Amino acid sequence: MPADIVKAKNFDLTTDFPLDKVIYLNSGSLNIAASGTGSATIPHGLPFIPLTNLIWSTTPDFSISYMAGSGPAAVDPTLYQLGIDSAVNADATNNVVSFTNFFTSPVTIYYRLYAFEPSDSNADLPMTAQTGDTFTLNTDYNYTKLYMQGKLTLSGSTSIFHGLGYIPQIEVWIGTATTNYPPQQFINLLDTSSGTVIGNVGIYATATTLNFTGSVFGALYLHYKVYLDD
Amino acid sequence: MTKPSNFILDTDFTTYKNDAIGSIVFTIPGSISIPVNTSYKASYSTTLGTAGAPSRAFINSSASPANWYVGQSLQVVADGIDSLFGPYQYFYIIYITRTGPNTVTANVQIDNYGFGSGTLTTETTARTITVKLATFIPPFAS
Repeated sequence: MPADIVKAKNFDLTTDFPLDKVIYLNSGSLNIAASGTGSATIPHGLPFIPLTNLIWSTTPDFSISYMAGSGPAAVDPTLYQLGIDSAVNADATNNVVSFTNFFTSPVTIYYRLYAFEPSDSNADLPMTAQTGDTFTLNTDYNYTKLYMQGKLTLSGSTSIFHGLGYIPQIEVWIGTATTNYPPQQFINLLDTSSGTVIGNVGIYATATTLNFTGSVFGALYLHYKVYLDD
Repeated sequence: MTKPSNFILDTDFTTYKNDAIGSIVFTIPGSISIPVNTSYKASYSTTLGTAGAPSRAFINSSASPANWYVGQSLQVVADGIDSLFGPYQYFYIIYITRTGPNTVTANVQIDNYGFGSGTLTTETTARTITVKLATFIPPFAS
């Protein structure tokens, strides 16, 4: 019997759809000078270019934390809206995290990296969790239900049909030949004007499709994950 | 060593768990008058999720109601009027910040920092902005 998508969506945990598995974890800190930049190059040891995400904070307890592309508001947002710019990219060897501090005082940044395996990989990987006294499956939690995933070669505008009828949770990375980027750290562009200004570059979802338009940083591939969860 | 892609459920790998979902809805008024070298700024917040939680965001504008943009920021190009030059295409940006352990804030900013420009009057149509948010249980040991 095929999986019932509507029912599966309502379960905290279902065996009809895979759990998404975090296959890489790392953390560290960087001291960034006032109006300065800093970066860390961290070997990941994985046999593929991972799909990495970054979460960071200015406190070690991560009580206020930001994703790549988000951050605290700038004191004077004339040129930059954020006081600290953040980015992560992954290549075949390293995860590279980088920060630009627009504030006029130094800051210590605490970062955490986590990554997923690309859909075109089927590698043997070291575990990131262990059973025994630490259970990673627990019905107290609502687990992500991975509906579809893939890697597309981009050629101008690209659409992927998911057909769910609602806006599902979606995770995407854009890839060049050597690097994967979480595009959340870039600025999506919506052109609603009557003229053509600089085109319409964006990654957006509708109730039935996931769409990529335009050209972002020489992107060649789109890695995507669509979850049943909304 | 295990092949994670072979398993539907697997406890050898940390899982990515849903935490909370929510939204922020606000309106950018039409025909805002912005003197030169100033900005229109507004912020709207909601309480959501676990402290330190990773999050995802979609941003939607009533100008393009079917499309939900993936990411932490959306820049919009719109038609306005410059008091010196007449019809004028301007940009505004919607961006997401966290302003407290459980507080997610959506910000809108429209700058008028043109070179020798006059007062900017924004598009006549008010736009409703909806930010759809989801947070996740951090996949790190606490």
